[in-house]
Amino acid sequence: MPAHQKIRSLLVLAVVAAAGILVGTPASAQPVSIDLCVEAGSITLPGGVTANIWGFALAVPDATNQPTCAGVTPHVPGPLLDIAQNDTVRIAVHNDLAEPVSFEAPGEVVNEGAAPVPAHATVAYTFTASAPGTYLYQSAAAAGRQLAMGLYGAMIVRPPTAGRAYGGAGSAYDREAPLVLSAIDPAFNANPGTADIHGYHATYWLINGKAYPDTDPVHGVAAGTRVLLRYLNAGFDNTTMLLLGAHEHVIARDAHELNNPFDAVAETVPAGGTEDAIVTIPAAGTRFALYNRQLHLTNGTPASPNHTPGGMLTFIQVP
Amino acid sequence: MTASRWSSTRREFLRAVGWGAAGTVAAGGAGVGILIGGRPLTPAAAAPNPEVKLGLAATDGHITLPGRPGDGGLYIFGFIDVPLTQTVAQLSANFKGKAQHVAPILDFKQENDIYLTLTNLGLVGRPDLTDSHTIHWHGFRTPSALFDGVPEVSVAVPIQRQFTYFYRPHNPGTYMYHCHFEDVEHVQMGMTSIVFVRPTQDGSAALDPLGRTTTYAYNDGDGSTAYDRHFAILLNEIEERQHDADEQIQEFIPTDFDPQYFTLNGRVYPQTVLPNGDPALPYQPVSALVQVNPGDRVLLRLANLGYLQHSMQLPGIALKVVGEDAVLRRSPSGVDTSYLTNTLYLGPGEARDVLFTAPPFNPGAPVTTDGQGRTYNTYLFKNRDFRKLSNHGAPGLGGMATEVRVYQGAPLPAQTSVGQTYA
Amino acid sequence: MRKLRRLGLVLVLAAATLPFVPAHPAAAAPGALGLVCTDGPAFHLTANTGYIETPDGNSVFMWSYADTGTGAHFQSPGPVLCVNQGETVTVTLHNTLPEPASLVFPGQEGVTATGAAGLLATEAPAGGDATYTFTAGQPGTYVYESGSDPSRQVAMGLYGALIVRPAGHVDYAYDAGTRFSPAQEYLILLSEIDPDLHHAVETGATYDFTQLHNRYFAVNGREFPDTIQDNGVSWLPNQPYGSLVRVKPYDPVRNPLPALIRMANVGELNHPYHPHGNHLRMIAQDGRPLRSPAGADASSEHFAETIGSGQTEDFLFSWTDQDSWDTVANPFPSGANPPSYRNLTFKDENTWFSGSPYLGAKGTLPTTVTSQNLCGEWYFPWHSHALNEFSNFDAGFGGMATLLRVDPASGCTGYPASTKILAGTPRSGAYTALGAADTLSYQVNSTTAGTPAADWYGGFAGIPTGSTNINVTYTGRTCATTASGSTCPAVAAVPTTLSAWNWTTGAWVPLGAAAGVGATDTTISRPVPVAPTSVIGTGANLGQLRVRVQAAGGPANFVTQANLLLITYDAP
Repeated sequence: MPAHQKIRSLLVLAVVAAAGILVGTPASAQPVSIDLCVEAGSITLPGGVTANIWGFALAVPDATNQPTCAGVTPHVPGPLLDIAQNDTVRIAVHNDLAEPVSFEAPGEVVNEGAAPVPAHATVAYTFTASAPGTYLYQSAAAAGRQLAMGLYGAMIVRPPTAGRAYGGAGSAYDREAPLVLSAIDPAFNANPGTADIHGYHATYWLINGKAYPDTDPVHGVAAGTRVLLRYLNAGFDNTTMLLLGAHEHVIARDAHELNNPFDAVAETVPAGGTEDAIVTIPAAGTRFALYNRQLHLTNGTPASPNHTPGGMLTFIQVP
Repeated sequence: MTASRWSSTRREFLRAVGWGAAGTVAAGGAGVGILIGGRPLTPAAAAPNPEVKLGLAATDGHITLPGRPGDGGLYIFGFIDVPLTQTVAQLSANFKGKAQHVAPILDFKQENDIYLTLTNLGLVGRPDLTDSHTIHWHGFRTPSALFDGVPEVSVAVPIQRQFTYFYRPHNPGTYMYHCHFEDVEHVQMGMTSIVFVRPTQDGSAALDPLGRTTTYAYNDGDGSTAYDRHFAILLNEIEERQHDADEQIQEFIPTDFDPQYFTLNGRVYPQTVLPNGDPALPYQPVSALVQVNPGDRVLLRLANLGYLQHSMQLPGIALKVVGEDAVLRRSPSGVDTSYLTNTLYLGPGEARDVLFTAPPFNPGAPVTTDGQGRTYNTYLFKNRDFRKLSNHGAPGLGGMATEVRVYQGAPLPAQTSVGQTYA
Repeated sequence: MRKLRRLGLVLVLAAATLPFVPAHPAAAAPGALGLVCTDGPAFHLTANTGYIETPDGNSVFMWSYADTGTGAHFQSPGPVLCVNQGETVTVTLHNTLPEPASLVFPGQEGVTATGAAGLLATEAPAGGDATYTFTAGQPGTYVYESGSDPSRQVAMGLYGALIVRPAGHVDYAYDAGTRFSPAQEYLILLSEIDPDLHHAVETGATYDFTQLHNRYFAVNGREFPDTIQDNGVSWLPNQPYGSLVRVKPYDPVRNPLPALIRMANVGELNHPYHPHGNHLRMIAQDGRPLRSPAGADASSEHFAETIGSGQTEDFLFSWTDQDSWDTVANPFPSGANPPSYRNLTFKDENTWFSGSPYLGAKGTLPTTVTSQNLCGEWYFPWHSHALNEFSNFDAGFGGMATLLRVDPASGCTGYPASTKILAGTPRSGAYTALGAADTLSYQVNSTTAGTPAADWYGGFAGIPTGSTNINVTYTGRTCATTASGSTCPAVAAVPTTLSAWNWTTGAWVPLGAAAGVGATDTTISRPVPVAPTSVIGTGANLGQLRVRVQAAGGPANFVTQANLLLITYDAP
């Protein structure tokens, strides 16, 4: 592995969501190399409940500056991959699971196709990030059971013009908030290899891997702030998110700019789909709730801690 | 009264005249604004329309699903295409108990006069059950409730009887058909398929920007829906408790619906990639396999007659939705409302016409060589909901998935029928 | 369907549909169909409890919002709040529920409130009040619902529709490009019910929302076939809103404007709604019209549309008769001649079908079949195509469904079923000759003593109680007594008067002034100028209507040759 591959800034999603860090990087002829580890771990849900997960994590440099997965902690969702348009991307997937995984970004043409990463092996996937937008990446192996376990994350491909989601001026924004929507069934995740998936029954509903009250609000907006909501539905359910107090302007789906953007209050993002919507914060109001309108607003069963309110709920707020 | 209750009496005739005098006014004329008015009416054909006559029989049968060991197959109700030359008695002798799922995919042309004769053969497995059947052409802008196939608002066909439905389709696109008698039950039992209508624009070589096809999804006027191959794929689910209950003379509560199987053209993966008419699946003859040459413009005619919404993905290949619900994605004022996506969200009863261009053969991706020595890349067309990629909850890829195979070179000859497979 | 099941269904259907047409006593009062507005901009709502009824005989405990101003009578869903763009809207909520409740108004900006702070909205505590104020935003269809423990309270029924109209334009959904017929404005509000949840709330038991299992699926708070009953029917006292959609065929002159279908989904599931008959044109989502960046129409047509939870979608709808099939002018091809009904079944011996393949015509149905059809109108189901939702718990053809009714373009048409001569003598023909403007005529000789007069009436039968907009059309001519065959020797035009029998007063009501009728066919078309109820018989004369044709004038004797006599009316 070349020692001087460019390591692009790779951020844990919640940080971006909270701080709105913008990374505009010019396209480079040199491949952008990212090393992803696939690891078993756990997630902490409201009230201290834990569940098994499999997640992606960034490799760390070892003593010889080579990527290693030793000691890394997997997250649900995986790390945010921040890519510049026209970058040539090389993603090496280091699989520490005992079963094959894969790397799939449905909107990207991956040169290696659907080649699997065998257990305890590494496979590199390459593609050219030819179009800007919001992409989901995931492991497609094991008939999707690895999606139930948490092997998914967000990838943002940025156009040359900073502060835009796409090429057009209509995609300009001031703040962005990737919102990875998903769910977990702790019982299934305890036994992902053989559990009867017909009996799959999610009980925790997550935004960026967290359920309310643990979700991270989008703080610090003001009247007129254009907040780009990057929805990524990594879950199995076609999910409708409801925004109170403002309309959102839907500009793209699946990283394709819409010919005819439209305004919405409740938008369904299908399973596996992404959607970009810009909320211009109105003059009136300081706190705008954003929640799952299928009313998955509980955690676990009635006996679980923080049972209600919970689930897929967060806020965009002025202070 | 004559023996035939249909015969118009003098008074019926007169009433119809009274209506007709007014009704004929409603032709032509522009609306005040395109959003405001109704759509323009299609002028009557100057010459008699070509006639197309088809026979379908309704009966029961069994299909094969993995994960149901030891049974004689899953009990279904369904349709099967039958010759019009046979008597009802002959049809019963030859076809009763031999329903297929999905039902035959029907391929019609715009401005043809279509006569679809339904014969109800009754049920081998449930001789006590005397349900009637109908054909509902789902999405058809029907000018007569008689031919809408809803038994509560028109007629139904009892056992050993026939009825001929008449259609004159004016709007090309992808539709569905299904039985509407006890439809909550009969649709789930398997009486479902796709019917599509080819546009009158077909046959024009000049419109194709690549100059190599004469087939189009719609009367687009600009060749934007030209395709080289097309595939009709019906999404569906199977709740085996409904089927088993029907076979065993038991009750199933429709609101308990929680299916165990998720099908494309009545098959689950890996059945979906077997060729058309595979002998292992005698009553599931319709493949969902998509075999294409690089560069082919491929039209997927997709429709959902399950009870669940489905999110379908074809990772690595962008999909352009050019039609929905048998309407070109173009507004009355000419605005292009087509869209590119990687995620097809398809609710029950909805249809999509989706174009993609087959990518080049990629030797760097996994490659398969088939029994004919042909080499191809595989792209999975699959449900994004992992619960629907399983057969009865078992591990391993199953359910609502099929393969798009992109071959090296261009070994596949032109299609002679929709969804043609090349074993 | 199994035999045992079917038997049950017959009974249910028969009971449920019995009140539908002829037994329906109410006149077509304004507002029997279509959107029922509770007008603002000041509203007073009470969150309270009550029961709804389902067509299978169940009764379900619900929470909802009631109109405090009408005694807080429980209703589900809550009142349809109608306001104009730019108005200052105030909604005072009085909460009689045992826990805090609230209102949120998705799609409205700058909602301020007084009350107790809550997570998503300011709340009215149990037994307390809260007041919400906002300026009505852009026109469109919106919902309001509880923002307190929504997975429980919204599921229990705390929801309703909010309509914002463009100021000064009740016929615009949004703007001039979305003009519609105000008489055809419909709400289709979708929701679901899990009776286990409702029972748990009623009894104070624990309920696990993740186990939600809906059994009833409603349009405007009713399940089919209750959905097709009129607004406000007495036998659904807590479910005031029907959803039968009724239109006439699109006609560029007589019926150019579409209906407006305002759809809203307040359930927790997305619902795929499938209209039979014709497509719906989706023009807006969540109160915003679908337009291109340049402002052009970016609407689209659908034969099924999945509406997301919490979404609203607006549709324009015109039923276009694609072929205008007509027994004379445009008959079906001979190959499409329908067979004998002996070879067909009518489900449960109960049908909305007319018996004819032609709109506006009635055929003859088997005598064992009960017909709900009035005069050859069409019915098409509009329903959820998640067919498990097209059910009432365990019985199909129920739940989330309503009907589209397509009336004949000219309304219903009636022809005489008898004639009676008041003055003069019969010459030739019978009432059957009055059914068409053709070569056949009903002929009456004038009296020969005094002023010559030919005076007779046509008797109509089967006119439904509650019919409105009755019009009479007469075509005839006056000939010399030497008339023979198709010849009509000229005479001076004879003043001819039409009138209708008023059953209430027992007198003839003239339909305008006399018109001169000479030797060429002359058509007189007149509306009935008195209340329709007075000219449609009741009791022993149920459904009877009489139209008198009185020709009187000299100097010569004459023959009245009546070619056509018909009435048109809008059936209830």
